[in-house]
This record gives sequence, structure tokens and C-alpha cells, in this order.
Amino acid sequence: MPILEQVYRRLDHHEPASSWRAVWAIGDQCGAMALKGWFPKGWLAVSQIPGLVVAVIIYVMTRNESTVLEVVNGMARTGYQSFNDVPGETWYRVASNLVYAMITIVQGWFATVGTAIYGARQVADDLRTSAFEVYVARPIWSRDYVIGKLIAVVKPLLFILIVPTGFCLLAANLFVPASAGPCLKLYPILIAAGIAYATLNAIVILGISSLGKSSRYATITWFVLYFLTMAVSVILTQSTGDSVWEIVSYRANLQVILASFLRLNPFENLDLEFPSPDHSLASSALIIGCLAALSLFLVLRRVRSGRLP
Amino acid sequence: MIPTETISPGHPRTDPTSGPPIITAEDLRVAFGRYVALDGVTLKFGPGAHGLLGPNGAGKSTLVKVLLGLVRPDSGSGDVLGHSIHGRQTDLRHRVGYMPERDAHVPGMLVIDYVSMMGRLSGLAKRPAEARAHEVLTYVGLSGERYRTVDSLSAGNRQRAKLATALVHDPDLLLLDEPTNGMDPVGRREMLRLIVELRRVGISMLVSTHLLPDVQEVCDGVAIMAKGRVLRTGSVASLTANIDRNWKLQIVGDLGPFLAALGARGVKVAHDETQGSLTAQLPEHAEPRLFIEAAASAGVGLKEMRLGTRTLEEAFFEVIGEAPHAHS
Repeated sequence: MPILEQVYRRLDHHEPASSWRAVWAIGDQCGAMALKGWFPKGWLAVSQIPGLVVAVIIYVMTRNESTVLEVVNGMARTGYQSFNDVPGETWYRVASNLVYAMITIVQGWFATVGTAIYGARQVADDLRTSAFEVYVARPIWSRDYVIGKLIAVVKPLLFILIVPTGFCLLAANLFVPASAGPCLKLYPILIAAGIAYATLNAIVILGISSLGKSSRYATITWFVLYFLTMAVSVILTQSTGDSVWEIVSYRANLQVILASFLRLNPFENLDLEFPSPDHSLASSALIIGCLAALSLFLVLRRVRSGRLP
Repeated sequence: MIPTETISPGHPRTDPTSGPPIITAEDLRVAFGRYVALDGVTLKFGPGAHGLLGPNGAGKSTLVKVLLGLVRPDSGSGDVLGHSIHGRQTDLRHRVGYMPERDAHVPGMLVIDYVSMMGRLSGLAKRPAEARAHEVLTYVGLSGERYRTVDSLSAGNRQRAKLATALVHDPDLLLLDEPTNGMDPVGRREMLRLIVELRRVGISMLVSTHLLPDVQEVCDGVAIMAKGRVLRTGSVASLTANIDRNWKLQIVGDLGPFLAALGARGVKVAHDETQGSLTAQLPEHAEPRLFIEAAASAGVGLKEMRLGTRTLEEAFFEVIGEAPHAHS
């Protein structure tokens, strides 16, 4: 159709600028762009496999009551003879242990890689390709941009963290009905823990992404931060014999914070390797909080220097 | 089919200084280190289409960015649509559509998503933004390219996509930075037609360009800039008016004696061999009757005699004090 036959139509009324609409627009579109390509989508799909595998294992185990009781008695150091003997608090502890292991150890690794896949490019690519200019001419604030980008990264990470873990918890509750009631409160806790985990990772990767003009640089920096702090933590802990040095590790601090969400007490009967008795939730929260604040400062400074108010 | 006739404005051109000003700038100064990009820029534009003319490095893009709040001036003040450039920038950006000179898009994003996202960033809800995106893409002639990625578009179509993003929230003022950059002649003509149409429906605009014909074809007013300063502002008509007493002459007969007769009467003459016409400048205090007397004395017939006009290009080079060939 020739363009000259088209007529420009003025809008009847103008919507006022809306921060929330801008935030969701950035979250939607940048989230969709982050998932573009076979690798990001494939990673999201592969990350669901452990949930299926663990659910099958739970199903097989629960076919035999004694096998489950053996696990429960082993973890809680008790001697229950049937499901009906197990108190609700113990079911909760066993289930929270399952959730903790799934979200921090199994899905945590997928989320670590996923954070780089979905987050490293967010700010870096905007700066590299001058895409940032499309935002600065719009009636949005720097906080809208940052929150929108956070949503774009958090969404796939939540899918990685919560869906398989929740699926396993659901399977355990379905196959052992006695555990369902005491574990109900674990579902909102799981969601909150997933949001906390994903958001902290997203804030840190956005801060890193705003440092340079290349997503490759951001990816490398992210993994260096993650694994170097782990390695230093292990070396210091081994050489000094003092587990307080686990506080150096980004991963260990995240685990401590998540353990508090799940109300785990690893020193009462549950055989967990983290957190260590030598550092508390407060110190881990302080370290992660400072890192998150620094990351937010970096990304906001970069965005404001690009003239977003 | 693309018409080839000359673009004509949809309504009589307005006086750029009439009506309440939509853009004012008062002694704006911007320096990037030791480089002074704007040096005391003062101007005022009323509603309508206005051109910002100047050679590369004149400070046009910087001025546009200052007006949009993207660059903070070191000193001076300004208002755009009643909003101070030092005030809440989001209020201003909500009413302004900006088409940047540089390509600015998210690589890999579909054209429809790109335009719709810009609408949502400007306050539209998701569904209305999508509907509006389809509408403006059809308007700019990109309906067939909606589901391609922005980076796969040709340079000309990318310009159209940028115009669509500037229009999606129906702004009251468009800031167009080199809108026909990289476009072929047909695309350029289409773009200028769109701009004329937009002005007709009441959208004011500031067109920053170094292409003088663009401004002459679509703008009411113009500001000529060079080296960070505004050298002259006024209506296109006043800048191209015949202030130098130029006349276009066509004769029947031998040209040599006529040129000699004109020269004897102190008339400066330029001969355009392609047009077969003469441009003659009357000496001060002389009357046009002088041409008739010269023709009679040379024994030639005067076929045509009319007041000539200057092109904007001629006016532009006169204002910046350089000869046209220096920039051709």
C-alpha cells in the first residue's frame, strides 16, 4: 500500500507517563531478548531435568515406606517405625532439607550459569550498541530502567530455581501424604527464597554488566567473582583450619541467607555442610548487602551518566 | 506508486515567531572540555516546522539534545512546550518525540516489538501500544517489514522505524536529527512528505539537518548555526526573499551586445547557460526600466523579466560567510 494513502491519526487523549508500565515493558522485551537463541532457551530446558530426575527418585523411594523411614531416621537420628509416627516438624525439616539442597546445590549451579547467560548482556549490550539512546529519550527514570532490567534477568532465574524445586517438593508431598500438611508453609518460603536468590544474582550481574561495554567481559567477571571467592574461601579455610573464612565465598553467603529463609537449623539433627557455625546470617547478609549496594550504585551511576534522570 | 511532483506544504507557511513560543533558548552554552559546542545560543520558535541548519560541527545535534534534556548546559536557560530544560525531564520527554541521528535500537528486536516497547515506555498500556505500533508503522510505510529485526532493515527503513518510535505516543513536538540521513532520493522524498503531513495535523517539529533543500521544502522557520552560534533566524520566506534586487531575464537576439549594454549601466550579470537565462542585479537606486533601455540599445528583444529569488542555499552561504562552491 502506498504510504501516501495512510493518514496520521492523533490520539484522543495522552496517557500520563507511568513508571510501572515502563518497568514491565523493559522487563518483558529485554527478558524476551535474553531468551533469544537456542542456547539460552536450551539452558532453561536443561535446567528442568534435575527436577524430573529427583521426582522420579522420590516416587521410587516412596513405593517402599521403610526406605523413606530409613532416610528420615538417618537425617533426624530417630527411630520411627511408620509414617504416622513421624511428627510434622520432622517432615518439615526433611522437606526443607530437600528444598535447600535442590535450590542451592543443584539448581544453584544452573542459576549461576543462567545469571551470566541472561544478565551479562543486559546493560553492556545497550551501551555497546547505543541501544541505550532509545531509553533516554523516553519519560522514564533510571530506577525504571534498572528495575526493568532486573525483572528481565530474574524471570528466567526464577524459572530455573523454583519450578524444579517446587516440582520435587510437590512430588514428595503427593507420594507421602502425611508430609503435605506440615510442608504447606514451605511453598511460599520456596518462592521467597527463589526471589531473593535470583534478585541478588541479578543485581550483581547488572552491576558487573555496567562496568564494561562487552557481555563477554561481564560473563568472565561474574565467573571470576563466583569461583575465585569460592577458591579463596576454601584455601583460607584449609590453611587456617578456621571455617570462618567461608564468609569470603559469595556462594556460601548466599547459602546462609537462603538457609535462614527456609528456617533450617543444621545443628539440630540435619546433616548439612552449610552454613558454618563460625559466621552468622548477619555477617553474610552484611557482605551480600554491601555487594548488592555496590552493584546498584555502579549500574545507577552508569545509567545516570547516560542522562536518564 | 510514488509521486514525483514537488512537495508543497499542506497549509500556508506560518510566521515562525508568531503564536506562543514552543521552543525558547536563552544564552545556552555547552562545552565538552575545551571544545565549545554551543556558545551563547539564543532563539525562539513558535508552532510549526523549523529547521536547524548548519555545517557538520555547528552544534545542531547538541542543541537538540539540550532541548530534550540529554545534555545539561553549562549556562543559560530554555523552555520546550512550557517545560524548563532544567526541570523534570520526564514531563518534557512525555510530550516530545525524538528521532536521533545515530541508529539506536536493541539488536535482534523485531520492528513491531521495538515500536510497541517505545510506546509502553511513554505510558501506553501493552495492548494499546501494540495497536498504535501497527498504526504508525503502516503510516511510515513499514507495514511489510514489521516482523523483521530492526538491524536487518535498510538504512532508509531504519530511518522510518526511528520516525515510528518518535510518533508512537503522539507527541506535540518532534525533534528530528538528520531525518533523511542515508536515504536514497525516493526515500528522502517520502520522508519529507511524511514530515509535511505531520505538520499539517498540528505536530510542531524541529528538523536538524545539513541538507538545505530538506529545510526549504518542509519548514516555516529556520535557524542557521555555525561554530556553536546561531547566526540568523527567521522565516524561510524572509531568508530567500529578493533582498539583493536580483532579476531573471530572458532575451531574444544576440547576447553579447546586451551584456555589454548592461555592463555599461553598472548591472552585475550572471549567465546560466543551462537555463538560457540571465540573473541581473540592479545597481542601487536604479529602476527596472534600465533593462528595457539596455535591450533597446543592444537591439534585442526582452522575452521575460521577473524578480528572482535566492535559494536557501545561497542565503545560507551568505550568512555563514562562505562561497557555495567551498561546500559543494
